[in-house]
Amino acid sequence: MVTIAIVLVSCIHANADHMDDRFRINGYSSFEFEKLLGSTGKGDPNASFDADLFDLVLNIQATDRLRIAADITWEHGAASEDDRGNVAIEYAFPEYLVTNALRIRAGKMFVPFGIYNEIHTAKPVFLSVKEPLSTNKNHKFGSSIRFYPRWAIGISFLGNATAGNVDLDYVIQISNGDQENTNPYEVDDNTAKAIAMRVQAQPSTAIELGISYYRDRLTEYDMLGADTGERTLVESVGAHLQWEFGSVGLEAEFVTGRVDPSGPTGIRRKALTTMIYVTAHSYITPYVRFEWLDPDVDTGADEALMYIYGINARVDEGLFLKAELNTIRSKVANARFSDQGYTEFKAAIAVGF
Amino acid sequence: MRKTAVIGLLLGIMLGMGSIVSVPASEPAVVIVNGALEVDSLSVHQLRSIYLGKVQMWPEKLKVSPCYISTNNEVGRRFFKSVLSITSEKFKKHWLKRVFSGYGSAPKALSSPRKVGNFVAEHPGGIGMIPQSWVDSLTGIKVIALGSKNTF
Repeated sequence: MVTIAIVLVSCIHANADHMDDRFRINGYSSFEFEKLLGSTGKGDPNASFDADLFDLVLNIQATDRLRIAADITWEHGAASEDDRGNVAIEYAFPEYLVTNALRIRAGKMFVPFGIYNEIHTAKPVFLSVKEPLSTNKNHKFGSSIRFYPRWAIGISFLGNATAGNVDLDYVIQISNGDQENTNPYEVDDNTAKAIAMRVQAQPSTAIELGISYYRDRLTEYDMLGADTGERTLVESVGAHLQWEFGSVGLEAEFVTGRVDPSGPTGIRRKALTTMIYVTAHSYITPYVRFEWLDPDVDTGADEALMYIYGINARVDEGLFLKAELNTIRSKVANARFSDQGYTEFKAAIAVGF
Repeated sequence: MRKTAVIGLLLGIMLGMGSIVSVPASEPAVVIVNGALEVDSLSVHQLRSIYLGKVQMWPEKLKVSPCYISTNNEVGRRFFKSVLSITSEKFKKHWLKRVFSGYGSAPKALSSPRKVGNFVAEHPGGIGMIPQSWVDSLTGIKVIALGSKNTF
């Protein structure tokens, strides 16, 4: 009997080892707290706890060349019976390895733009509580439309190369683009495909430089929701830098772009995010981040600024505590904040595994 | 009968947990690959590219399957510090970022030289590192040079 149990345990153990070679489960979660300091502003006045998200990340190596990846998220305590929270596929795609210089993906993916969009809400891998608003979620910082959508459905070509001792990687993504009246993950509402591209170079393990580009033509609808045949051009260009020298690090990202509808009211916009941090004893990392957005260069007094002073503590492998002060300052014509600046305290427990 | 069962149980537990091996701090270590691969040497830059996920395919079109001895082991710590020139914390953060962004799975961390040797032998594109003294006791693997050196 004991022998049978030993054999059984050994078999399960051996199979688990082989299964782990082909099928990996990772994931992350974030629990957050926010409190507006003061009595005015768009911050949270009620000192709320937020079951922000729980994500499972699946990687299935179906064959040597074929990998299937998916990230499934449950946000804000998702409970469909009560119509609360959100359940979503962050990405799900097969990726075929042709060579080191070429892999092909097809499915729902993040738009490869800048530092943060593909990291998305994976809070354990960045220092701050939230990803930057000005360069990543600018529609929450005074812009009418994002520089680039978060997700896209389509095909991506990506790969790595080396030039001397400089490592290069690239992504080219062709997708349905963004749209309002139909599900962009199911159908395209016009024939214009969105294009996203990013090239990154790592001259050393300490430095990464990148440039990104996004272009789409959005359908313009009339009052009844019918396609007018006119298109709005959305075009954005970005540059980013990540640099770590010993315990000191710097991140900087600049994005500029335009939104040109068929009418005469096109806009040009610019945004900047910079962050500096210092890690002490591999555990404690204080950071300062500055964000700036000009939603329309030709409109005066619409800029928004944010200063973040925070600290990130690695308590255990994959477990991080974060606490920060977010101070927002904006001018009177900013569409989201008007001139109501405020300061908010944010804290989070982020876990990655 | 009972004694045999107890010994069997202990052996099973040991197999399950992996061999408990102490490696002298100064013992040289080597990079090994699956014995069928054609590669005879890698530069430090190439090895770093493999372990950071930038190279995924060998020249003979086999998928690279990297593993490493966990940093609980002295060889693992030395591999990160003196070969990859990256702390294990940064390595793990690098891979968490890649995994969550949809860029693949991290190299497999294994607890003993024997497990690394077996993994490399069982995977046609396997690569790992072990103390040099273990080489003769393993089959299906071969040692490759690391730049101009054979050991680290």
